[in-house]
Amino acid sequence: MDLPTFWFIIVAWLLAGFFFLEGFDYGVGMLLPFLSKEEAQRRMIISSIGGVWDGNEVWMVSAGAVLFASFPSWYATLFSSLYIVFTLILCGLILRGIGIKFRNLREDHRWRAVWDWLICTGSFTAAFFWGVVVGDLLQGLPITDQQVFAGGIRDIFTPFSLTAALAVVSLFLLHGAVYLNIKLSGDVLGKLKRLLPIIFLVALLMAAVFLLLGYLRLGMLCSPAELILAGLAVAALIACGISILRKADLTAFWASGTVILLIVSLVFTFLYPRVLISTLDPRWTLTVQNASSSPYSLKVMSVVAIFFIPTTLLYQAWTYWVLRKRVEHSDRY
Amino acid sequence: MDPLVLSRWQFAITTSYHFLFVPLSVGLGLLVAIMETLYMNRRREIYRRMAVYWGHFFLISVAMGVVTGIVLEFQFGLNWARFSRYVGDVFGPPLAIESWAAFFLESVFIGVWLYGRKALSIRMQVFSIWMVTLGAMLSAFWIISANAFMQEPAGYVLRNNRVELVNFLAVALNHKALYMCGHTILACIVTTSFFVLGVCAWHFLRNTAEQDFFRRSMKLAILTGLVSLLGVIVLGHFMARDMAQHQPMKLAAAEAIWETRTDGRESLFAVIDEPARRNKVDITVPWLLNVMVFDSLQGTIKGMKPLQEEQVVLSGPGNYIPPVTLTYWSFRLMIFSGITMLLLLLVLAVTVFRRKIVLPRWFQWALIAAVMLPHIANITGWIVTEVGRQPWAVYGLLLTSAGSTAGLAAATALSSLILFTLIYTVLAFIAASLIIRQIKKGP
Ligand code: HEM
Ligand code: HEM
Repeated sequence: MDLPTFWFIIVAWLLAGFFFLEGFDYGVGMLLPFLSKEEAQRRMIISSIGGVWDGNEVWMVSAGAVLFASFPSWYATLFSSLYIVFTLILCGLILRGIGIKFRNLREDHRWRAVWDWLICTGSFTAAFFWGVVVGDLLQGLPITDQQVFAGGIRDIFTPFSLTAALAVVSLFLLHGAVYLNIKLSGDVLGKLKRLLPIIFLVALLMAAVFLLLGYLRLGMLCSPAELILAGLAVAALIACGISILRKADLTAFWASGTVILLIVSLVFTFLYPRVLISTLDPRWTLTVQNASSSPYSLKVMSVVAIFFIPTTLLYQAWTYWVLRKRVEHSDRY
Repeated sequence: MDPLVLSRWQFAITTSYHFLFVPLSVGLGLLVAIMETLYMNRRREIYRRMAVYWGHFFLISVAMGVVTGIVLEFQFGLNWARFSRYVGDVFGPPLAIESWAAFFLESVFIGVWLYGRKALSIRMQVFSIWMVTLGAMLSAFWIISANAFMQEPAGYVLRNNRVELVNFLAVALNHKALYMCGHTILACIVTTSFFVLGVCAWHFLRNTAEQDFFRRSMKLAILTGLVSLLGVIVLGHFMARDMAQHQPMKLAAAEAIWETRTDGRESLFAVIDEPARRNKVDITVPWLLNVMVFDSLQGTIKGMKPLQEEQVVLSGPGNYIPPVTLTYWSFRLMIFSGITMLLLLLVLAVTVFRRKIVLPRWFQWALIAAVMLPHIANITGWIVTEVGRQPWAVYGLLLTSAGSTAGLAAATALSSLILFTLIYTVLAFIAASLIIRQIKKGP
């Protein structure tokens, strides 16, 4: 395997990890105001991600930095083309991040209510617009030979990218709900269990629409690999539903996580070797080869990555182990 | 409006907010780690209470530091696409390594430190907070080695219309990066020390019940403050010397020297006429400049006018003189703040460690006001570094105007500028109000 392809896989892997981990963080954030009105229970919901979401968010930060380092042209063209989309993602992330940190700092009902809604809308905004990014990556953008975006708002927000956005939101909702299902205890679970089947059905529907539209509009699912990945994703999603019915909580969580990993893999399999499709002229499409950094640069990073990626994974996994207990009513932070 | 100008404002404002909080995170992380270690070793309740109390401020500043940081990372792609393409090969690796080596360390361990109290032994607890602090310092190191490349490019070749990395260690261990990194991390500790001193002084003025608590905190802050401030000043001196060699235009602008100067006179107060390229008023004292830059009474500092002509020969026609008034006064403000802080600390050290003497009230008030001094020095320091480098984004290689995103509409750039400025300003006020509440509440 050549170096740029190796780094393409690392980027895909970081994004998959980000969608898996922040997927449930965003989901929890979106669900927060709807699961309970009681302060003690809301606090439990926040505590379920309180100790881990910071580390999860670094997967996104890391994906951004690695994209910059290994594919400068991809990073520069994607971000500058989707300027509005990323600006809104950032606003969502700011509000949600500060909300989680600040809401507990004052014993004031109104203060907390406001932050809870900001956490919810911030999580939704970030999830939704990341979905738009996924849609735009798949469908391509009007990029000129100078790698300049030559389109308008209609090229960014298309029926397909909006569908992708809603699919991402509903998958994250599902992922967050099954996560809470393994982390919480006591009364707060009641409402959650009632919502779970509905959230599941919405996610199933949106995932199906997304795949169908991808097939019809973009010719996705036409290679065996894509077909297998999509088939497995649907199977995992159904397995998730069955586990919810059978009260196999942990299995349901891993199943919804698998769906996310498979869909990200599908997206990157469809793209390869392209990284940013130009809808104006195929010759102007950015590829793994023409957008990457120099071999020396990639080699240096490979050496560093071989050391840091496993160690980081290890200690992050260790923190999940330390914080593995269900959150209880009496826990206070 | 020009999207380039808007992008520059956005970068300046967002980084300034980042650097309003980051120094406190770096310094408070260190202080809290020291306090927890003291508690582990001596098992005295007071150290635990100190760690908890100062830890509150730490959490607030980290929260702000993280959310402001993410914007910065995305901003290179958003507003500076041509810059990113041009330097990504060299500039990207330090950022990628920063995310693995520093951000993961800090963010993952801050989670267990905060939420793992019940599950962790005290040893692991202390270990976690040290990892958080290490992560914060490493993140300063890597981002600054990337920034140092923009000041003094090293370890690269020009190839394929961009800079390409040929020697990674020359970038990571760029001597400029080492100076800046030391100066900046120590400045973070100075900032925190003065924050702690200010809070202590407020409690002494109020005569709150916790005299012993704040006396101990104050002693620790005097110690960290004095050591780090001396370090900042010594490194600052070396940086000025380095600047004379590698970025003579920046030094000349910081000193408002138009014609080559050999007499070593240091300007104390100048009224600068930039269009006419001269100083209307210039009050100077002898030798000081050469002492500061060369450690000797002899030396030549090239003026901006000859440097401008040299640069035209090298890089073609254009204006290569940075905004002089801003650079000059920023440099003076930083040094003025540094010297004022040194005097305050010396007086304080002598009084506090001689026990019985009680600090006069006006001095306590001065300490409270002095909380602002390191922030002024930080911002003006970055202005010297970044504005003094203009018109270059990467010194001698890429003009700032050639680095902005092509085709970015002014309206788009303006709306994001307004959006971020608004959100940050509101959040900064909220953070400040939380900090003030916490100060008043006491331990
Ligand atoms: C343009 C330059 C910069 C960029 C792109 C940048 C980027 C970032 C990012 C993405 C984060 C969030 C990391 C997370 O999610 O945990 C962050 C946080 C942080 N940054 Fe920066 N940063 C810059 C400048 C600086 C400088 C100059 C320093 C210090 C000298 C610094 C020190 C820190 C620290 C300590 C944190 C952790 C948050 C905190 O403790 O407050 N950064 N930065
Ligand atoms: C009192 C004597 C001081 C001297 C001689 C000094 C010198 C310098 C110089 C020459 C630079 C520009 C570096 C360059 O662009 O090449 C700089 C930058 C800076 N200074 Fe200072 N400084 C002093 C005090 C302080 C103090 C007290 C603080 C804060 C507490 C501070 C914070 C900074 C910061 C944050 C920067 C920008 C980052 C960097 O370039 O390292 N300085 N200083």
